Amino acid sequence: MASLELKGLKKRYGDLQVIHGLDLSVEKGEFIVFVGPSGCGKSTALRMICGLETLSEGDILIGGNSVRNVPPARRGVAMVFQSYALYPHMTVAENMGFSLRMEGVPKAERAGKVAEAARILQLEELLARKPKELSGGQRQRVAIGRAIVRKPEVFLFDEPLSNLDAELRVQMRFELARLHRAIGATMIYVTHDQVEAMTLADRIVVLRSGRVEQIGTPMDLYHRPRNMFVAGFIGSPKMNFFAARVVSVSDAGVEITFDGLRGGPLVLQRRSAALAAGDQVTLGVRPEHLVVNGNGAAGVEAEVEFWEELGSSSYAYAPGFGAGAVVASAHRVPDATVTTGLMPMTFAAERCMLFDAGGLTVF
Amino acid sequence: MSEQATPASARTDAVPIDWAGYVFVAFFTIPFLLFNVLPVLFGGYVAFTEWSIIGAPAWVGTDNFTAALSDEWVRNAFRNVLLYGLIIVPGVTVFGLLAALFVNQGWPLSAVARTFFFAPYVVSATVIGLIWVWLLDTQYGLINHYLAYLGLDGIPWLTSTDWSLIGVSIASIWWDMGLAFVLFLAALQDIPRDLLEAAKVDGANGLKRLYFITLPLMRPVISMVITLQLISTLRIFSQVYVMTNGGPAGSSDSPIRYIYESAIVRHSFGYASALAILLFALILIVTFVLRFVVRER
Ligand SMILES: Nc1ncnc2c1ncn2[C@@H]1O[C@H](COP(=O)(O)OP(=O)(O)O)[C@@H](O)[C@H]1O
Ligand SMILES: [Mg+2]
Repeated sequence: MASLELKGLKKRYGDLQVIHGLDLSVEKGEFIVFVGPSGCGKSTALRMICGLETLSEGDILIGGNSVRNVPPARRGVAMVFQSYALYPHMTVAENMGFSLRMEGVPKAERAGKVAEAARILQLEELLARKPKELSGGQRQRVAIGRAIVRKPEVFLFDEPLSNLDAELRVQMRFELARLHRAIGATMIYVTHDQVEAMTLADRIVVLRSGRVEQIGTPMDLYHRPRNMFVAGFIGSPKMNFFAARVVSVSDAGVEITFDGLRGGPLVLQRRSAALAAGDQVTLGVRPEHLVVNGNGAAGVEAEVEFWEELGSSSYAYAPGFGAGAVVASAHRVPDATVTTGLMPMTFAAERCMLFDAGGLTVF
Repeated sequence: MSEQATPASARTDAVPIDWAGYVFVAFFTIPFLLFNVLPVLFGGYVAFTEWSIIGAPAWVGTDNFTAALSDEWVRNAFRNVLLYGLIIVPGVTVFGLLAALFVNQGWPLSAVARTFFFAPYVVSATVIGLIWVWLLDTQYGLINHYLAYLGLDGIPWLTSTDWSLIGVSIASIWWDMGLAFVLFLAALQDIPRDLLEAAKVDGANGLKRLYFITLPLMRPVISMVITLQLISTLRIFSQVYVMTNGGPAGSSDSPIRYIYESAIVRHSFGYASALAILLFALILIVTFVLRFVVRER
């Protein structure tokens, strides 16, 4: 039995439709991440699951039962807010025990459950403090602790790490993953950060303007995006897109060309029955498959303006190429660290993707 | 800027700017010294004299104070003002809070309600007093008219010694509620929505959210309203003066009204000043005690 099921979920604010039919079945213990650009309706969807927003249409099942008319507290969900929403006048222990207190759990039992959650999150020494006496990371842990204490069927997180600095974000990401493994609960996690999505999720739901673009495992989305939007959204730095034209289609593969292509036409040795010579397509190449001074046959020559060096890899940025920027990688930065100017880049043809005129993935 | 571009004269120009500062301050300071500090010091002196504004004050030592302490009317006025405090301060706090909670719900009528609750505050006490004299009239008043519908006898709100203090208190609560209401509403709107939603998810219903989240977060503004209202009620005058002039038989009298009568009607400025000092002492003590009762934990 699915832990959480969304059936044709829709949300309208007056005339504005924010969610256009969301279907999803989540297994018990799955870590699902909703990812998408700001304003695409992630928070709205999460708040509907939580019960803080009404449903315009559709239904939500938690543990097999419809919760359409069940108040938030009795849905078996716990939410971690972006702002943490800790009660400022209560101590950490009181914050964590508040839901139990509302349920009428006796004081001693409450203290035991709070202590257990505090132990899992290493909050034991902080129990007597007020939220304002905590660091950002500690507040975050208290907010998670408040959720854990309730032992919910489903945990809901709304961009929980976005108020933390980069280092803490990475650390909390790791702690969240560990927590998920430790308690094995179903988690729904909302973020606009695709790195968080890739690192945490069992499955990712990519949303755009209230519509599901694709649902799949992180590697699915990376290797087999359904369309250009997902291809562009997943992966960092972003995939490069080149507007191209099909030269020929044969058993040997698809030949394409575009302005600025050197050593072309580019032969992609994969089959497609859907394409014909003359079709407009888009070539998609991730920066890791576009190599500066590489040894591929076909490529482009672009004016590199700056390099981003990450130690293990380096990325060259060529903002002025054709219609848009091109980002390429290099195993080793050529010569001096700061090398700019016109540079040859070659495609790893077997890793290139092709999208049709409608933006859907051909291969 | 180069050295030559700053001639010596530019530096001397800077001096009047210092004076300008004092001039600006003086606009406040001189009237304050003249009309606040000086009268207070002078009043402190007059309290130990007998003076009818004509001629020089005659020194009488502490006679005014001993007289005040045995004056039946003084005792009455001070007892009344404590009663006013006990009725008006909780009344303003509770009704101001209820009004703010109501308007904060954002129900269809809340914009109208906001104006309705705040309007009295910007109307002068005299107008409020006259309106309430009319509303509370024993025979023709609206209040008694409606009480009659409920089958209750008309209450002689402003004309009986049992009710006059309550009648004046009702008008005062209505008048003073406006400010408390606005302060409470602002504080309510300052409470992050996330907190109330978190409490909702934690299983707190409306009343529990009010008790466990909203009220504790409003504690600072509630204690501020109580303090301000208590001080202002201890100085209650206009409503009393307009509605009952302290009567009947002093049953709604207040210290300031009695001070006013002593000074302006009976020209006993020395005695009035002594009473003012006693009232000041009372306000000081009450405020001090209150600070301990409602202070931040
Ligand atoms: N209460 C509301 N009334 C009207 N529009 C809203 C309301 N809440 C959210 N929206 C709109 O719904 C869209 C999705 O919002 P949201 O779910 O917060 O996006 P996300 O969390 O993905 O950034 C936005 O365009 C936002 O303006
Ligand atoms: Mg959001």
